[in-house]
Amino acid sequence: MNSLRAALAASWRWSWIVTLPLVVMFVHWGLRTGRQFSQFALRIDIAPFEFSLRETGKLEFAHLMRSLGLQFSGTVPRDDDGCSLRTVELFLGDEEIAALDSDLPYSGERNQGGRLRFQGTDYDVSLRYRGDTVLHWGYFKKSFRVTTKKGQLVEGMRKFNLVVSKTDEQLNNHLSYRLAARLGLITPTCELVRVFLNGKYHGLYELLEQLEEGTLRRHDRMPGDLYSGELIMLDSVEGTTNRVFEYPRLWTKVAANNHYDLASRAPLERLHAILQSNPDEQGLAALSQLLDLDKFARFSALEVLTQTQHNDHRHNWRLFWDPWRLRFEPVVWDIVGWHESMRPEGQNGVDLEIISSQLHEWLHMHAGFLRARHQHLEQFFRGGHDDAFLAEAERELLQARLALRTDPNAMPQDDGAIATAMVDFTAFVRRVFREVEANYVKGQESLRYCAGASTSAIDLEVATRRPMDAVEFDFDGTQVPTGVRLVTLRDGKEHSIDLTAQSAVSTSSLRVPVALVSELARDFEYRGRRNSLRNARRHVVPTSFRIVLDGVDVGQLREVWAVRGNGREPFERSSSLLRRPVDLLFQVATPPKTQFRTLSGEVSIAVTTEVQDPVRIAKGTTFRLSPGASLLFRNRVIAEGTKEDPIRFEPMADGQAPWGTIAINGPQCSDSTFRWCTVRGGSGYKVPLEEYCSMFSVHNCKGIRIEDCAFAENREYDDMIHVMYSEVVFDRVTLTGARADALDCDISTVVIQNSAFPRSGNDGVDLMTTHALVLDCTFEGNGDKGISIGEGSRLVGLRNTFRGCNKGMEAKDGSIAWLANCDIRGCKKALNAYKKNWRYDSGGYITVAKSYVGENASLPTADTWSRAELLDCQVKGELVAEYDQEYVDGTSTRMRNTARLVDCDGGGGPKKRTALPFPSELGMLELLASPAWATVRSDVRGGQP
Amino acid sequence: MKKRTLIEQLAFVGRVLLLLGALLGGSTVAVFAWWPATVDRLDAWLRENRTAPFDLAFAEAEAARAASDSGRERALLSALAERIGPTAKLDRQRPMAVKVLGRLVELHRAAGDSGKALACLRALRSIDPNSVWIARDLAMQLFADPALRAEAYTLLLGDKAIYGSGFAYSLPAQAEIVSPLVSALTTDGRIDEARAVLAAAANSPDPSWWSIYWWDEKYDDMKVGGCQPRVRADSVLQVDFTLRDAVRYLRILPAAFLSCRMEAPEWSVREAGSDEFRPLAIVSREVQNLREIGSTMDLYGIADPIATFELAEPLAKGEREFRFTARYVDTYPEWILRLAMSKAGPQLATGEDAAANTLASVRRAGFATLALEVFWKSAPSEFSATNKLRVPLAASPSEDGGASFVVDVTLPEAWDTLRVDLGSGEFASWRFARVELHDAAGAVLMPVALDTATLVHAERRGAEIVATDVDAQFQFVRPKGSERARVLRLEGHVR
Repeated sequence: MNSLRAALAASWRWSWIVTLPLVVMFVHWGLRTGRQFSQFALRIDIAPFEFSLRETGKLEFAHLMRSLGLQFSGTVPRDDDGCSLRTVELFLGDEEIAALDSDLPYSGERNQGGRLRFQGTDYDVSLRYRGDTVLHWGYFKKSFRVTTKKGQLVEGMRKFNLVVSKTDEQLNNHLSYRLAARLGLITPTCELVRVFLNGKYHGLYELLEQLEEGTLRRHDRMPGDLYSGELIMLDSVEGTTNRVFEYPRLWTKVAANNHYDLASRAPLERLHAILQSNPDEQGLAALSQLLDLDKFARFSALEVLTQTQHNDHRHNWRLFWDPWRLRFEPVVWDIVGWHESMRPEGQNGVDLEIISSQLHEWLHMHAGFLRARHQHLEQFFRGGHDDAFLAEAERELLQARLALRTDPNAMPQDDGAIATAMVDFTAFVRRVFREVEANYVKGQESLRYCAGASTSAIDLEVATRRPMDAVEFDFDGTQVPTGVRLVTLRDGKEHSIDLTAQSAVSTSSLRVPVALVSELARDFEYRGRRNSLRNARRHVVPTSFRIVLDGVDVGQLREVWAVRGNGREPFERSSSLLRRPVDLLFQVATPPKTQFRTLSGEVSIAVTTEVQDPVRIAKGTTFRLSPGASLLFRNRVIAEGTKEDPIRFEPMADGQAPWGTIAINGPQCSDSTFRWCTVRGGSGYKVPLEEYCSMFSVHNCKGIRIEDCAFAENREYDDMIHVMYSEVVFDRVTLTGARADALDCDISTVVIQNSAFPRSGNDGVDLMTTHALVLDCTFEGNGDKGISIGEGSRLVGLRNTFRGCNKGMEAKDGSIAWLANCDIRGCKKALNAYKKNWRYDSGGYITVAKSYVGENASLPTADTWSRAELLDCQVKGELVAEYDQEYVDGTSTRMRNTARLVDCDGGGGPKKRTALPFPSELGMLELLASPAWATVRSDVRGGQP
Repeated sequence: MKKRTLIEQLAFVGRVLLLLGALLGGSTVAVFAWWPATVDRLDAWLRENRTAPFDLAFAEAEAARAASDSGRERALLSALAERIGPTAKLDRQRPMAVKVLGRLVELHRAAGDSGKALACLRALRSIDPNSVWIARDLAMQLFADPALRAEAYTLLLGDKAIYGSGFAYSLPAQAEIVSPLVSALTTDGRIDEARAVLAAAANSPDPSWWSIYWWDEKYDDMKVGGCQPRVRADSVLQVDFTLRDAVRYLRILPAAFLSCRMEAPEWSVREAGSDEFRPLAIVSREVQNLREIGSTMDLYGIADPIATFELAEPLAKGEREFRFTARYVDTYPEWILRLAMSKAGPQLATGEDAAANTLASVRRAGFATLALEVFWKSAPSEFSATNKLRVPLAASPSEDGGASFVVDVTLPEAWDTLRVDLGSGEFASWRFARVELHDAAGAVLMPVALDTATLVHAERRGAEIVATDVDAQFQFVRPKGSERARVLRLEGHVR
């Protein structure tokens, strides 16, 4: 009894060892619960979410237990724990954290100073919370926006986000971005990382690039307007419908084309006008002129494969307006693929079309879009990308699980719940892929035909999600139609498209390249959400087409085939078919314009004129253009001048103000040729939706040849010729006295040979992110550089002469140039290489081999981040040890000169005569340039033997 | 010894407190775990407790309002606004703060205290800088003070009319913004800007996204889908969709702010497996925010137009395709027509530029759609919607920018007072050359002397009746000797 009493007394005496921690724990729990509930249940409206006191208390308790458990078990991230995720360390003072948390969510938007350590480098950064919903700033782990100081980049990014997961399975967005990248879409960089805050493990995060100009550059897009459509939460506008496609001017610009007013929304206004117009052939045609349908088809494929409806009428839209392609392109942002709320209920199948906005509704009425989407889905499955992606997803999920094991702030707090959610998630992804493949690649379909409605008409009925490439008709004997037409019934009228020119006759069959696909009818299927846009499905309806074969006896018809790739699938013969109107499908066939129009004689262009047809310009034709007038070709141009009878593009009158531009723009302009043309007196052209900064513009087309042409006297705008997103060969071309740059090439591939660039006001040739082969050209008296290459360009230059230029050549910002057998003489500076743009990690690299470099005021210079090297050249003069590097803003910095001379001397004879191998660092130019490189003479220094 | 005892006593108390604390904490956890309903009640109580004092205070102010004690109401609401304190857009108190401040604005205005009204409006704007309603109210308050008009222009126009940063640029077709702005600009003689702003509104595409609702018996079971209608080549608007639910009611919500005329709206349905649509009989139709004239529905550019149709024979569950059709006529929103027909209309519509051309055509369209509403009553009854006729004027434009009309209104036999609602909008001036009562054969019985007619929301200016508000009207008592009158002829000119 005494011992019991003593034990009780001892227990009582030492009870505080148990009760004190318990009280501390309960007080902590109570305070946390109270604060969370007070802030996010009583004070702030966090709809559509809701914090209840019970759930808040339970969550806080679970978090406390988890933290204590990890603390006492010593479970912390270790190098050998199998997790290979990279680490991001943030350092933020207590005051700064308190400031961020003081009045959430508002206080979280104010930047606080902090530090970042990543990959062994420390950065001064600004940190704030980010995200629209409470999931980002209402729990233990908060999403951060990190901004470095100007001039400092973290793996090429100045702004990035550390984003918490919004779901139990954690990786919805991350894996969506990975899938988007596989589908060839503009996608922000996204990576799973482990984040430490002030030295303590804070948890698993997604490191997500903040969309900006750099994102576009990384995807080889010229900077343009990148629009953001967000009309929810703080961005919503009371008094409107808050539908993004109804208010073009409520979109913001994430990146802006500085050639236009910052408030300008002209491309969006055009899109808005189309979407609010009547959905008909004309409207859908206009839409295809404004959207890069192929990219939207990829985007739609992504939506189907991820089952996301998160790009809806209110938010998450990011659209890039490419001012040079004149098309919108979607940018993937926050799609939260395979989210639980978007999974089908019960036995319902997955959504085979995602219609969550007005834009979606329009696109799903466009046959060309449906075809392109199908192609991308088919390629995805046939190319094995589904399996590759699933394997990648498994790897990422494993890494996430490892990182979450030690994550004190994981949501949910229960590892078991996360594991279960991940298993369900993976199973759902597999299910989606299976069902989508079954419907789009291997799907059941009904194809029927009926011949005999009239002597020349064949009715087709198509019920399929799989568009065909063509329809083939097999006859008993040869049948040659005098005309082929596709006829559809709409609004009680027949609409006919002539396909005669595209149709091909073989011995006993006729192939009509018409990509028939079914109309998709609108289903309203309520799924528990009062949201008018997330309840719309589509179903395939039998769609009627009539092919009229004039002059053909359809009684001889044996069979009809749907052609897909290399295979054919039969239509089933039917004695009669009901002919239904086609109400919700447009742009089924748009025959290419193949009939050339010929222009000849004197052609007056009084106002800006668009030419939609293919054009043949006869020799001796003279175009006379009024001031400001431009000639915009939207299709192929064959301009065949001769030496005796050149084609001229000239001002209407001598002494007039300059005319605008001659432009060829668009893939349909591919394979255009300009021979023996003279172009003078132009400037450029700019309207809200279109801009050309040169007198002669080649945009977005391939196979262009410009030969024996002369360009001169351009005014007002910068460039004489501007090449963008194109492949062009210039041969025997002279660009004289350009106002600024003579030839400006951006994101293109060009071959320039036997050409001359005398007296340009600025550069002879200016390359940005361009691959170029420049042969046997002369750059003389250029106000700045003979050739300037920047922003990741690659150049091979052979036997070129640079004479009397400010700089012979300059390379910047990740560009690489190799020159051989060139003469660089009489320039103020022979060569220069430097880092111009802080967005690039490195400067420029120039190597000049077997060349003559003499009579220049200064020999090559290169800054710390660059390389300028002369190999086995005849060099006159001495390298300077230091020099002043001038920058575009007018400042200059004293730099150590890193340029080198290797095997160079003042003599004309080479030190080595062995053939120069093709430069390994120009591997991507090898196909284009290696035949020319083989002509490099190793037995000479310079262009002359 | 005493000291030791004290320490022991303190230690004892400490142990007891810790034990109690631990027990309390443990009990709380237990309650959270095993008595969730209790926690939920606490949750509800806390929420209630948070809002109840404000609700009570507001109710008190409402009572003062009911008692027409605006001074007390103002004092109570001012105190309440003080208690609510600074509020931000996502705060739960926001609706209450907006309500209180909004009412205070009205009270301060009524009391002639524009300074305080302005302060409340500024407080409202700090709560939600994106709100159209708040921006409109603030702008109108600022416009009222000549010294502050510039601030109002900055709010609505930004730094410039085109590519500006104000509401009128972001929302070029928003009536709440454009209307007061155009009025202010015309008042200030800034006609070019007013023309540009109004023409931009007139040229803005109408929104086109519709919502369709359906339900069977219970309204609460209502479901919704969204779509864009198509206007067929024969000018018939058509909406197609498939449903599988039982349907008794169908409701359309045409796009907000849409303006159009839909004639002879019809529903039809095609059962699964059938090739033909069959018409659906409608037993009743209810509309809100749109005008129904016979079988025509007029949408005139305001938010949330609704038309609800009850099927004569409810449809059981099953797959079927529904089709809504109506003959479609595009129209301008009424508020744009009114502005174009206002006294500044001729100035706005005059000029060589595209904006002037647009507004000239809007003006013509406005006059072409002018209509009067004629009400009649016999004592002791009052004017009512059942005793009225809508009479299109079919006015033809005249050279002075106005329009002339001659219209015959068929009258009932029994009436003692006629009321003519001019309904053409603010500031329209009417000159009636002839107002006569005719018999059934068309013979003139007698003229009606308008100089003795009662004017409401209108005033006489010389020979003209000028509307001073949107509900302008005149009414006159049946003249003696007009028992055979069956037709009222109105001839005149409006501008």
